[in-house]
Amino acid sequence: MQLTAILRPGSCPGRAQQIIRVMKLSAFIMLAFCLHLSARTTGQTVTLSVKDIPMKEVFRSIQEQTGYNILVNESVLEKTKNVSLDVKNMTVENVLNICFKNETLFYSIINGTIIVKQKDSNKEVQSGDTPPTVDIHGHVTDSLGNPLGGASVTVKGTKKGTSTDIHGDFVLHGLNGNEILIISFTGYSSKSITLNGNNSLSVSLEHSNNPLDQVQIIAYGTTTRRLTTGDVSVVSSEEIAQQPVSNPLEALEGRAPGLYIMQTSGFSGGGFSVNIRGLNSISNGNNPLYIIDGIPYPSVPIASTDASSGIFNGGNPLNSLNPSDIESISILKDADATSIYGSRGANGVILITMKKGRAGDTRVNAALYFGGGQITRKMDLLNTEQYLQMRREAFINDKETPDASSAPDLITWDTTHYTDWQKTLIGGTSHITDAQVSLSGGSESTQFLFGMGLHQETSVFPGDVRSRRISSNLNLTHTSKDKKLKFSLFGNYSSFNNNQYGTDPTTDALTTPPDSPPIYDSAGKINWDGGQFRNPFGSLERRYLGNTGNLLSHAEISYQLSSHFQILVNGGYNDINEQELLTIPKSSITPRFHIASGHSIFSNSGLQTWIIEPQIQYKSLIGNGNLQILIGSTFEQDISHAQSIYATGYSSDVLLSDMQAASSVTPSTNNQAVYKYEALFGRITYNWQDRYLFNVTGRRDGSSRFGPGKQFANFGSAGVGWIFSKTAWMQDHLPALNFGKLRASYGTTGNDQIGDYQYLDSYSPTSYPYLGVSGLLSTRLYNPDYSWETNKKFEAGLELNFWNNRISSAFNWYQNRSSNQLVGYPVPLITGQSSVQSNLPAIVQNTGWEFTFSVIAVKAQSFQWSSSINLSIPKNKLISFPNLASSPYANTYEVGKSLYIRKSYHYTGVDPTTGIYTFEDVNHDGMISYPEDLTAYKEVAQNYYGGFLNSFEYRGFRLELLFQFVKQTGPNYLFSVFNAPGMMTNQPDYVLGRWKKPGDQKPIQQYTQDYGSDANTAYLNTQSLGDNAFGDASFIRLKNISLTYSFKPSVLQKFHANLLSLFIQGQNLITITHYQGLDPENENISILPPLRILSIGFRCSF
Amino acid sequence: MSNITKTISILVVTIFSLCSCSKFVKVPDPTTQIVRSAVFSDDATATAAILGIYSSMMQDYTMASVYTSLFAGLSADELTGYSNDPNLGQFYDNAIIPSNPYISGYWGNLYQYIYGANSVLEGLDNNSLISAPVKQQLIGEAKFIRAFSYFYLTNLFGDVPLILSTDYKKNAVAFRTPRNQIFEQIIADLTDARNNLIDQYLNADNTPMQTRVRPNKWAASALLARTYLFDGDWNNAIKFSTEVINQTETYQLSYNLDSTFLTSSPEAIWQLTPVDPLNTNYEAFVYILTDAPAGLFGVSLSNNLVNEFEPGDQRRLHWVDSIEVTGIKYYYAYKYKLASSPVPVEYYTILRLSEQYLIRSEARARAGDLAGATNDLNMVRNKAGLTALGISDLTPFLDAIQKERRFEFFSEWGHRWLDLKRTGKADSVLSTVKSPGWQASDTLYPIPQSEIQNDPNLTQNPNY
Repeated sequence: MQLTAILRPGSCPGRAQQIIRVMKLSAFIMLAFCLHLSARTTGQTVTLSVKDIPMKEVFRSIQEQTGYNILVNESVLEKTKNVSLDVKNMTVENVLNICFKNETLFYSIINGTIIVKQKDSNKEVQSGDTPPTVDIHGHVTDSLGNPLGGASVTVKGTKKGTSTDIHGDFVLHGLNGNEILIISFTGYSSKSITLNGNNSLSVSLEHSNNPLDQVQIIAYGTTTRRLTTGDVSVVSSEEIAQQPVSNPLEALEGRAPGLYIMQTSGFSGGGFSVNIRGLNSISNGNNPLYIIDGIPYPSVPIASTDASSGIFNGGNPLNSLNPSDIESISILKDADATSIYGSRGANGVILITMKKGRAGDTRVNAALYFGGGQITRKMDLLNTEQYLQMRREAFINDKETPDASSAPDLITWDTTHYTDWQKTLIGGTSHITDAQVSLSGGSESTQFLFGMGLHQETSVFPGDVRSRRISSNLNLTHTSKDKKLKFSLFGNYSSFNNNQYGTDPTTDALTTPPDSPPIYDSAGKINWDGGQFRNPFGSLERRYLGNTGNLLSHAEISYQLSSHFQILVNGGYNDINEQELLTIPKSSITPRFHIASGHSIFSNSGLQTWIIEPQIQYKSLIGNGNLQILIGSTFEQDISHAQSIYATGYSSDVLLSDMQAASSVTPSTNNQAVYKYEALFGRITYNWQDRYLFNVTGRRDGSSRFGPGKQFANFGSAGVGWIFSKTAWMQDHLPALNFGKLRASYGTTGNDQIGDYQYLDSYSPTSYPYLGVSGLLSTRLYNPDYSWETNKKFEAGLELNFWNNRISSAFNWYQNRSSNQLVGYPVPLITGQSSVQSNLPAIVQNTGWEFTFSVIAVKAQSFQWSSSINLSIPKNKLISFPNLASSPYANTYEVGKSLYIRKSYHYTGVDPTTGIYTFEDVNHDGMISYPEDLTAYKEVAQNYYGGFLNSFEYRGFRLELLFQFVKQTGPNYLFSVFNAPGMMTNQPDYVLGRWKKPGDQKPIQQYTQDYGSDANTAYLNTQSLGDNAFGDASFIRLKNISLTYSFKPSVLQKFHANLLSLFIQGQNLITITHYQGLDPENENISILPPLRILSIGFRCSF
Repeated sequence: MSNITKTISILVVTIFSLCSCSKFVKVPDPTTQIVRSAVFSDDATATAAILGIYSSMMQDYTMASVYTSLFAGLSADELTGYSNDPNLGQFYDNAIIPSNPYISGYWGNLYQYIYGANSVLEGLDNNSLISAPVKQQLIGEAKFIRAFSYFYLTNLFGDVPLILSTDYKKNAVAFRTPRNQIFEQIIADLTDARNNLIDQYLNADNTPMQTRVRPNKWAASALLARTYLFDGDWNNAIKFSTEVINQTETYQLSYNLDSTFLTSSPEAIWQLTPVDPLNTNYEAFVYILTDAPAGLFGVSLSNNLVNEFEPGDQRRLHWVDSIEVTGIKYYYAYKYKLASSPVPVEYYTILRLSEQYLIRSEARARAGDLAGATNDLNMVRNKAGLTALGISDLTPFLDAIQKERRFEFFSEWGHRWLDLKRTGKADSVLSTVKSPGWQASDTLYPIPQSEIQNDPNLTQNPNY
């Protein structure tokens, strides 16, 4: 600090003098402060009439008249010329402007002090003089006036900088008052401010419209696309709201690269298969980790499948989550983003953030839509005439004569009758009603959100089945007056009530003979035709009733200890409870089985999770870069249980839901488990001037799923990013590039998706009691020595945005290697068991490319068109598997090939002489033998997939179209369900191209109705192991269309509304495919495929 | 506000310091599983470890619930196969391939029972927590189960690995043990079982009860008599069958043939109670025809067998039934009559008195006592409503015994298949009935392919 006060002649170097100077300065400032106060009252104008006097005298007069202090280096004054003035009540500024007219001086007025400096400071330094410096004080807020703590303040062109404290205040020392400050904060547009002598600033930052600065939720914090070093894809609430879906996972399909979601069943409450970047684990879970507002959420259904085995195809716990309550979903893929989840991050992480209240006027938001759903495709099946022709031909081929026992469909049934079973069983329209209402608002210190939602869906089946979800959520956020303490509370409860048929009638819809007799007999009962007719409506007498209650609660409390340190505790409690009942009445079972009584299955399961995660965060500016350190720990406990009870011996089908009416009641499943998990984790992030980004994470995990001594393991990652568009060279040579980033990360994650207690030497109760007492059985071979499955992930990415983000693009390459595979290692049965849980040194590798490309094609006043495409090209490979040939996986996997392969018989066409399917007889033993002839490898997986999104805006209209495209191989109609053509089941019309006589070259083998015929054997070979049972299942699907009209503000004012929009939305509307089956998405013709949904509704806000 | 700071700081520091200790991830023992040490610390849980083996024998399709009678019946000349499952067809065709899943399932069932028995024996070894009588009973039952399992293993597969512990690292590389050593072990185990068990049948709480669904001393004697018969030790076969037959207060021949397999059967020496409430009797479910035999378990009694019953044989009337479909008559075993009943009225009967008479008859004949042998044989014929026989030559007498066994035990526990094998008649009888595929080496089932894959020391039976 080299300040010299005018009016104090002489300046002497040396330390003692410096001290004196500072003391004097203090006194001077105090004096100046007093004067300043008085100056306010006397006014700040000057009246002066002088001629040719030294500048010093003029300053003295100004000081006397205005009360301002004047700080100036005496050496500066000595060089000034004399001044002549004649002014009356002129402002100080103008007076000074006149005085400095011919001088190389400038001034600034700060808090009643006039600072005068030489303009060319370099010369001053060179000449041994030091320029005067000032402190800049500033206050940074958001557009609502809330202080922004942690905003970065840098001085352009220098290495100087600081960040704001929790009050949003900052001080910068030692500036000359003429610099340009750049103030930036994650998620807000940066502002640059020229000081121009101002030394007190108040800056408000606007929320950034720049897509690069949109906040992304990541593990234990937030980032932006600009600053992240990890690979994070985000799907926003707006994107979810455009889709009439009941499960939020459905809304992610086609939107995020690297994430493949398959809706495996069209049942309300049905299953989803979710996979981030391929299969990592040979035998254990490949499910990602779900985190809802910091609380882990189960990825697989908690219920035992006893009651729901015939439907849902697995089910999914997220069915009880209301998609409208979700603010955003982040998909974390690489090591940088997932390593902090350590042992559970191997298969990627899906972070779900729930909606929160915002300060402002209290608002009511409401939305309502009605929709209808149908199956996406039907198969072309044989009509009665074609079917009967097939059956007769089959008998002729087999040289047999049909009789009433072997062919009731030819002999006893009315052969003129025709039923379109697809239409009858799965051809209906489901009705969907969805209503949402929420109330939100709050003050600067307290915000709230309260919402309720209803979603109801009937089915495409005949009759009355439906599901209903009612959910409510409450969110409260409070900040103390001094902004140091923050508290937020979140609670969500949903009740999912599912009333469905107990079996999926899709198989029956495809296979029931078209000339089948009437559904009901003359007495109105199910017509079994004496056991000859497997009546599909019999199965529809079975009912499933499921009730899931799901409580999610979460609280977070944080306290700002100082401008650097913040402590935070985040805790949550989830409670999921599911009650199910499956009733199988006697009337639903064909009399052929001579069942004495109907039976029912009562099932009850639950999962309670609590978690607490204390954390300390440190933020600081070190060497012109932002340093953030996070240290935290996790304590989690899950208590789960599942029970099922079989009840039978009912005197009447009416009583099936009453357990007391059963004469025999047997528990069939009873599981209880406690899982405990603790971790210590940390993250260090360093951002050097938004140019170089560094991120290091580490986690030490302990899990109760491993035996003593094996419970703990360490995981970690490092990520770097270089925003090269910030370099001067790039800015000079490629100005069109507004953002360019190179990033790379490497790290480890783990997988502990094995059952609990596997390391214990324990006995379990038998399924059934003996002599009324539950028996005990030793359940496994005792091996306490297995440990974590480890996944090493590497990723490199390049992001390029041009012309102010008009074009943005990202390219990623990744390689994940999963080793130390946890498998049930095969042992001979003579040991008493078939496998022992242990680690296998097999390595599975997933590599792939992912691209996203977005362009704002037209950006005019009234019309906007933007378009984006994402593409993922995954590749899976089994790198090594010691002793594969002698393992039970010998006929499943092959080293060097994908885990998705199916070893099969190689199909060689229909033999023109015999008319049956033939396969390559590799070992030339004259027959097709297992496993020697398994030489064809079919990779049953996606080659590539992605989404193509277009959105158009014209005045109040907005149209969005999302196409999903998938290039894949999948099981076709030959794979399952159907019998050999000629049997007493209907067939797709492909079979019309069958072989009839020797010499025919046909794609389909001869008809047969004899289970023992060679043709049937060949068909069964195809079905179980032929490579012709797999085919192209690629498709392009108009996944989502949404047309919204929003009323103009002028119209809205009349209704006192903030928002009113009408919309039409569609899901799965058009599908283009050559798939030989029902639906190429779920690739399964025995399960109801995803539905095509069209809905209409409105959204408003007051 | 400073209080809050303090509170939170204390909270954070406490929680962080907790983290360094690994006690948190220690979970309590599961409530639906019991660790081994706890199982063998109490009479009731130790008993449950034995009951668990019986329960698993009766749960689902197992060697005990139906497979022994089905597979051996198909392999011999008792059953005619119509199954659409080629793996079952292989039994009927005597052309089983080593990778047949039923073979590995059957083998696996037996070694599971052996594992269960070994586990109990290890748990009771040097155990002072279990009361002496219970410990003695459980050791007896475990050895009985082990002997029973090895009896079927060695008779169906020949030389098999002799596993007497639960140490999987050692057992996973076991070699095959010669059949005579397996027999020695069976006899040793049954002798121990006979000495340990008492003459009463026990309930789950180890108090006496009428139902005979846990083996007692006489069950061990009965199986011992059978083993000696198979081993050609006629005197011991006579000794132990006599011991059982002499328990006349407990065991009487069942002259009402419809009650032989009931829960209250006076003939039963050891039975198993059904456990699955939906399928109380797998044999009844598999055998009873309501339509022409087809589908997975398409099977009927062979016409050969049915046609050879002597006229007036009550067993033909009470234990065989038929169904006529499109002019063809299919016969089926009707020993068990109810596939499903909320409260079981039939138990799976494994050892019964008439077998002991026929064992003694055969042993006496071979030992030279044809008079006593004839007496025993006629006891069983009398029960079946047949006239008494008087045969003075050994060979025709032995043929008469085999014939009697065939009609008494058809579709039961593979008696016919084992009898054909042990008497050396399998080749001559089956080569005519089952031609052209029959080979002499088909008398042994193949060692499962996966076992040979997973245990490098196992070898395959000839011609597989």
